Amino acid sequence: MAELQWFYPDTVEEVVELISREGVIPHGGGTGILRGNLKKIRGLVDLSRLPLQYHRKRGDMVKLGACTTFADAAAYLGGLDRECILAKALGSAASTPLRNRITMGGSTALFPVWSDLMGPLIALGAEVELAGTNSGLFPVVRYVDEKELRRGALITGLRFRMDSWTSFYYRETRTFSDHPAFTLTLLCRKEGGRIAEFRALATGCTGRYRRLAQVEEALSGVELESVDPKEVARAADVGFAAKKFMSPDYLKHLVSVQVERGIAELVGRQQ
Amino acid sequence: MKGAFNVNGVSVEASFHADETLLNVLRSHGHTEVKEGCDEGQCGACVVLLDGKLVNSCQVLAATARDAEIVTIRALGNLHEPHPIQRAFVDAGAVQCGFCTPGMVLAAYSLIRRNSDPSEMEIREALDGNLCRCTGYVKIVEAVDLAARRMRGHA
Repeated sequence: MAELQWFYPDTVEEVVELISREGVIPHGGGTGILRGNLKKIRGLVDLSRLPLQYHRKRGDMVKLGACTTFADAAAYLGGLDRECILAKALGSAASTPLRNRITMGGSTALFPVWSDLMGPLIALGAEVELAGTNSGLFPVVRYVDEKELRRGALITGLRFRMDSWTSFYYRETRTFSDHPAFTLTLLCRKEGGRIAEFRALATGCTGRYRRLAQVEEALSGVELESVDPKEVARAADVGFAAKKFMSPDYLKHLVSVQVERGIAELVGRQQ
Repeated sequence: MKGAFNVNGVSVEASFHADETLLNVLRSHGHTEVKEGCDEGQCGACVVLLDGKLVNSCQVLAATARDAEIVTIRALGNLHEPHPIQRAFVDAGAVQCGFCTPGMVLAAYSLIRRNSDPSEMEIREALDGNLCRCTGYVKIVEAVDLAARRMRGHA
């Protein structure tokens, strides 16, 4: 078998042409590629010469380049807003040296089951910027759900609106260096004494992610004082495949417990 | 394939396979101070500074690091002229089997460059990618704190 070939293009157009070839994929510098089977790959396209490592905010819209690392994104977003769910999630992902390599684009494209990125991105209603067969801006949730959208596409950036959410992020691990069995993203926007909008999403479950629609419906528009976190958390219906050391029922119970704690924290309730 | 790497200020011409990691290339060119531990990016024994950023060299494909500035523990100090962080590790009793020590010291160096007065929590977070198989974490955290204080001229 021929040795793996590397390409070092300078433009997005060159990358798009290269990844249209059989077995050639982009590499932004992250670590996911080493977890796959390199022997199945014919060519790797190094993205480091492209200007895809950036972060910027225009108005309330934040944009991150595809090759921006988790570490840089977490530092930037945390500086804008300490409550930013992405800053919390990315800052707790993996470890310091790995966060210096894992990229926003690579992690979106691969969406590993232990991803700390995808829950917050989907909950925030983020969009992914693609070049190639399907150029343009698309909701991240569409990119995840529609295989055809991903085929032959290069992620060049991600963007989302920096709304005034208070947030709760939880990753279920046995030790800090574990991949999470699931992640939980809760976003709450308050107006006066009521919840204007609530978003809840779990990853790591069957279907890769699940929006906790019943929790969202139970909380949106209600008075903060009337919220019963335990009661609402019962509505968190998430299915899991059996995982090592953890049964689906146990994981579902853990989600319910964390949803309860998250709601209590977000509505300012002492537990 | 071929490439040049700037390791500790010295240009190194290297031949390597297209799927080879930076860790393998460094070790096969005499940089055995970069330790091979888990080979999965979990233990931190192989960390180096790549263009100023702490990374697991086992998780970097060498082909992406051509022409990059790489710093290994060897650039910091040696037995006769140890870096203040290395001296602090000895003085605090933070070295047991020593396998994790190069990675721990580099992670501490990376932290103190950014933050000269880290809290205990900040030290623990900065070392979150480095495992000590002897479990000597308390002394290691004390050593980093001691090194930071000495480098600020407070100890």
